[in-house]
Amino acid sequence: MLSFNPHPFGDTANIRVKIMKIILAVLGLFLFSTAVLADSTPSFTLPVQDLQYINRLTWGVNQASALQFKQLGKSAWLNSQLESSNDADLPDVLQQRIAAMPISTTSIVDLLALRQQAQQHINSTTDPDQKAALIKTANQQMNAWALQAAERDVLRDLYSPHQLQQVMTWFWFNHFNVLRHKGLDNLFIADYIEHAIRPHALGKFSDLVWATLTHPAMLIYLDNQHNAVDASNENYAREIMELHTLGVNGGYSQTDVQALAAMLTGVGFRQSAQCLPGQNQLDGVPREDINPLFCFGPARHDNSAKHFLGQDFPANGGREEITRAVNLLIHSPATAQHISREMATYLLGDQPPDEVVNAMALTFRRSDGDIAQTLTTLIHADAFNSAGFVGKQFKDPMRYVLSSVRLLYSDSPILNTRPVIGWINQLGEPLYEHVSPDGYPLTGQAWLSADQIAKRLDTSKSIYWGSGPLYVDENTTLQLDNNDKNQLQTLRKQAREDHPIASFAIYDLLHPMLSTTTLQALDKSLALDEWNSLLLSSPEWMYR
Amino acid sequence: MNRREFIKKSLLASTLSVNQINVWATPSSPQASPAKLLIVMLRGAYDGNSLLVPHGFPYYYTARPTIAIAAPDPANPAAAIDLSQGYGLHPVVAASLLPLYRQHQLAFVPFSGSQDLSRSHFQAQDVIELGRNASSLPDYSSGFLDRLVGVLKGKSADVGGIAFTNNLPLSFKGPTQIPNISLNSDVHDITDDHQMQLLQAMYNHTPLNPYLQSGIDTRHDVAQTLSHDAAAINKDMLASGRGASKPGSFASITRKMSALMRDNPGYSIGFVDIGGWDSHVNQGNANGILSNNLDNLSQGLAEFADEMGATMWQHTVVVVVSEFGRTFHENGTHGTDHGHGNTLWVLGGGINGGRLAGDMTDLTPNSLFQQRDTPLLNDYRSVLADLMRGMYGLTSGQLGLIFPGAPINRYHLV
Repeated sequence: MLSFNPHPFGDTANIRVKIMKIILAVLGLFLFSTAVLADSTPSFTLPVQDLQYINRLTWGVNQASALQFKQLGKSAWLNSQLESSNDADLPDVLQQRIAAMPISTTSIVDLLALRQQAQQHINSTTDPDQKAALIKTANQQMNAWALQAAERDVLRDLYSPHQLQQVMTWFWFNHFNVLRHKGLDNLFIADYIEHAIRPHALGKFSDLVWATLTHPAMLIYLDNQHNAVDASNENYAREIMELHTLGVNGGYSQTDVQALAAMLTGVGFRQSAQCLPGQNQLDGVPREDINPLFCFGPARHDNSAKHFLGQDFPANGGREEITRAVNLLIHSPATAQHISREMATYLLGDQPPDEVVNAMALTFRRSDGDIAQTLTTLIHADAFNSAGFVGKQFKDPMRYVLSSVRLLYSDSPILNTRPVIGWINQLGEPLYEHVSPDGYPLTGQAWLSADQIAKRLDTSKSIYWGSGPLYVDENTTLQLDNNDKNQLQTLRKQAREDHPIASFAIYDLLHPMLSTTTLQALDKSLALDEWNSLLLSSPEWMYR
Repeated sequence: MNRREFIKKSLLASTLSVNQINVWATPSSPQASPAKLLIVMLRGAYDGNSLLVPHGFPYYYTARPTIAIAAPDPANPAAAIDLSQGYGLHPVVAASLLPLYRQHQLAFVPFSGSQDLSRSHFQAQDVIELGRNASSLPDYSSGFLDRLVGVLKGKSADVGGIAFTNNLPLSFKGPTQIPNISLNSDVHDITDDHQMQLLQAMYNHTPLNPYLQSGIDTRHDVAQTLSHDAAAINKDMLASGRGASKPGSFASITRKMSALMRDNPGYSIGFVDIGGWDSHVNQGNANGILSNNLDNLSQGLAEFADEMGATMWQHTVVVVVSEFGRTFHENGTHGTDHGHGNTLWVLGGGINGGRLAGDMTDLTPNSLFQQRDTPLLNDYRSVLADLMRGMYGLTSGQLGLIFPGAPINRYHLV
């Protein structure tokens, strides 16, 4: 496997000289000012094990995260990562940008009302051309709503100091996967992340289950909005056991699937009809886990007696039987095992040792499904810092793209996230677009293929050349792309000059993670762009 | 010259190795390359009872009051097209597939699938792609296509696999190092020689090196073949009367797949997958979501056959398989839930098609599996093994390496 030995000082000096030569060659007379700019980021590094530790608990080590680690020390840094935060620790400019987004200022209740108004308008329009135009606009608006969610996620992933919360937000979204293209889910994705997933990413597992169970995004995606006594549909009932809680070998049968489907009849969300008073709740479930649009329809509920996971549920159990049945799933030892194995696979490595998973499952059960505590058990396990796992997991596209953008563009927040979203798409892991409820694969091995490596060679170049597109804001880009491409090129060229990549500082930070072979190859690069894209294409950068 | 070009050139000099593998070559095409095999995986469990419609069994209409396909009726364009034995074809696929069926180039194997009973998409897909006994502990070290390529390579160097997918599918995972390529966007060569030298130096002693080499070679080969064939492909598209395929449609990639498999001996075993079959709600009947999906699939397959050309199509087999079937009864939301047995498709210019193959039974309330699903009578592994035996002259021992413990059966398809 790869080795990450620290390197003699001579190598470092040599490469620094090399980079300086490249800058000299490329920039000629502008050497002085640009070299100062390029070097204005203070250079430092950390021991390789600390770099890897940061790398494995964030979307990728960069100067900002390494500096945070250096200032706090390892233990306090980990504690800060295990805490949840709103956007208060983001750079001001990003806080303002996110706060001003329509997804941040429109409640899900108002959003649905707006959508219904638009739909009524479409329905009452008779002229076919006009109708088609209205439908097109409505669909574009839906799409734009999900793109805002993607923009917000990407900005937080790139610049939030609370990196572990962001990593786990992706993990839990993927665990409770929904597809943005199904029904109205383009509209609901942003709320789903903001209220059902992110607040609980380091909190209690039970809150995630309830918040997703009552969210329109999930009820649409797995069809439970249609599940009723006279119209049974077992889709969600199966997946909540197979994927969300127990796991496929977690000890349920086909008759359990049917019994749970019967118990989940009537679990839907408020659409055109108002919800009956008192039906926007589930007994014993925290109020804040219940989505405002959630609605239980007693008339749609199957009131027969049921037998589920070996227990009798008497007739006329009403919505209380939902709480009882789902709590059986949440508190099952199979669930603790399943969830622990998934977290370990994603954060530790492809084949986590049973003893680590068992220890995590024990913590999970003792702490009533506390995610931060379960993660603490994982992070403190010997395996987490062992040579067998560190730097051995092939990055999925999300990690590859985000770690690369974080590395190159950590100094000042990018103005356009579309290129980042596009790179993630191109490598095959588009946000909110995994069709089936299993989510994207968690192992590195699943992503390792000839095509993936070949594509990353292209992507690494795009990311290096990305400073132009990344630092011209999205609206300007869209406008000029339509009517003045020359002007767009000028702005991008200017943006590139205004945002030089701090190659010295990046090199100084990262070199302990690079092998001698890679350092030697980098030393032979002829130009700065080649040097940077080679760095992002290096074998070490493919792993975490 | 890269490794693959070297192999290609050395094989042109010697057709001996080609013929060793090609037991299926006919006298009219003595120099034909080894038979081509494409596996098309429908992820999400497609509803076979809407494709191969059991209109001759009244219980079908009892079990599916709103989503059944109407019984054959020349006056009704939404009705099934009668094939035989009480089964008919979904009308939406008639234009693409009926000619193939009539020419004995398409067969269906109803009541087929794997023994897996989890009704989990993901476990069942893994079971299909691994090709081992469903009851044994999962062994993820290799998939059945990887093992097929491994066995065939023992007979001839002039064989190889390719997955037309973004990720390498489980069926191709394993020691033979199969490349994959996604054809949804343009494929171009990686041309910067200086940078490539440095990359190769960096990767040389890492576990990623085979992937890098294979990725670069595949890009090169695919870009070359497709640029060479581009004009012909476009002409064929127009000639077939279908015009340019819609972006994102299956047909938009199947012509390229076909050209690559036809012109590149290293790409004799192919794999592609299509999702979106999990029709729990409002699946429709003659029209609707499922109908649209079947239309997209069948058009893509017809384009694949057409592009292959008459001679090579004689030596090509396409198998369409899904992880399991759907409930025989419709559910309460005009859809179907996860079931068991399903209908597998076999296409090819030289197959003994135009019929339904394998064991069959009447569809009645009593014959359903667990009172809900189409029963399983034909293990998909035995169907595939029998095809491979006929196509490549494989022995029982070799078939046992590919599908350990699979039941032996004869389907007389090749």
